[in-house]
Amino acid sequence: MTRLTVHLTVNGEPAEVSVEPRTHLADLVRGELMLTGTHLGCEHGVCGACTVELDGAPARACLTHAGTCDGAAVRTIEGFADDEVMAALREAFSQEHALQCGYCTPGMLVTARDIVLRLPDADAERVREELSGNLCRCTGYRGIVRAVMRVLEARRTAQPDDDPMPDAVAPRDDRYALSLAMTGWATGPLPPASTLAIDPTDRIAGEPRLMAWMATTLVLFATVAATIFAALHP
Amino acid sequence: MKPAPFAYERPASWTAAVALLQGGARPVAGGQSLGAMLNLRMAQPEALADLRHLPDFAAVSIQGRMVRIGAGVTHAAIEDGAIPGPLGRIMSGVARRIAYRPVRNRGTIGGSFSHADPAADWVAVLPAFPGQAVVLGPKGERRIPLDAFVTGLLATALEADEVLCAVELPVLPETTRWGHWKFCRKPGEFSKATACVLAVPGEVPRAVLAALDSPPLVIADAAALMAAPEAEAPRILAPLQPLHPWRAALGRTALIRAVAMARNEA
Repeated sequence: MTRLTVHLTVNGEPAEVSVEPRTHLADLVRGELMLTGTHLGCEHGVCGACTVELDGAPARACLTHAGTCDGAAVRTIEGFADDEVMAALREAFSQEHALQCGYCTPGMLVTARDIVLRLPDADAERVREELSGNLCRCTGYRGIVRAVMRVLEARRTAQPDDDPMPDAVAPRDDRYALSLAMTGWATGPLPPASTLAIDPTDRIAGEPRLMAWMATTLVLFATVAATIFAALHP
Repeated sequence: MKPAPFAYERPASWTAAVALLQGGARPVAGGQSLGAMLNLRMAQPEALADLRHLPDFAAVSIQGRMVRIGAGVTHAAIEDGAIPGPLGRIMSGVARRIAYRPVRNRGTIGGSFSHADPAADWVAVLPAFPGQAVVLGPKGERRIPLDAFVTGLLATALEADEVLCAVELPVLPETTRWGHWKFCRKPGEFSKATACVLAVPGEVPRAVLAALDSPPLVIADAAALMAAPEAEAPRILAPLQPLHPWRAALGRTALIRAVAMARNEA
């Protein structure tokens, strides 16, 4: 079997691996370098679990095969240990219940960090749109959107308008408003929590209300049952 | 899934790239379409020729009245303003809605166009422009009109040993009107129907309807569509039967909304 020697920089350290050309970057970092923080979901570019930073920008590790990586700089989730933005995101993910099983989280964090740095003025709607390439089956996304917004807002407060970072966002183009509206729920604005009877992402507020509803229902049921029982057994 | 074994080549010159294609290698740039097909084993090439390191592969230049866009320019670069002027603003709006940012960071305009997925964005949009694809083969360079490049499902006018080097699009005046509408149930997924309309003052307006499982339908004279979209859209869709009614309806809607956007823009 033909093998290829690939030289690359991984998390700042030079690495040399000998792999089959068909090996993709996620298998390369997991299998050859034991960096198992990068996860594999669909292996065809849809789910985003394998998202890593490749030459400074997020990319799908599963769609990048070994030869292409020769000479590249790769940063996996393990390589963000000392990163200030990533530290803020980790904290926000924890506070906002932005993960449950954690499978999507490494890819989600790499994408989230790119959103924070590239789109400093993003609103919740834009964050949701930008996150659409990372699938999460636990959270329903609300906690993730809130976590990213929390970091964005904290940075906006810390760095008011004199932020020297150039605004990379193209001016919002209203021609696409219709198109956005037709791309479904995922781009729609978040409904305010108050419009939902029980906010599934807000456990502290939600559980007492759920308990109250259950108690009321139970009392009502017991009253009706007692009335019927009394009518049948005078 | 993991791909079937293949050899990897990284040609240093365009001549070397063409020679590799003559030897049966499959060209690859960002690999965002081909990579998935490799992993799913829908594509099993003997060898890949990685074009990303070829000279001027990702260059953008203005040559007279045309903007030459290297085949290796990524969607993300276009989104971020790599193409100058009104043309660049139109293309930025299209690029921003291609798949997802991590895909756009690697995927290229030339790769997407050559792959010729009928639902892909550049396949739907580039034929709207009076421009050419610059193609290199063993016999040298030739130009293919953008509206004749995609010939079918995953099929193009490229010969097996030819490679797409660049696309050339016209420099547009500030007064250009543009409408583009596509339907995706989820942001980033492949479109179910795409339409776009290009109206350059003093020229015949053009329109494209795409993502209907057939090559893009180019409406070389879209004056009637611009004037009466509600009446004209069904006429355009009629010859495409038997299209499932919901897709025909989406096609009509796409045309009508693309026209509405082109009209609303000052």
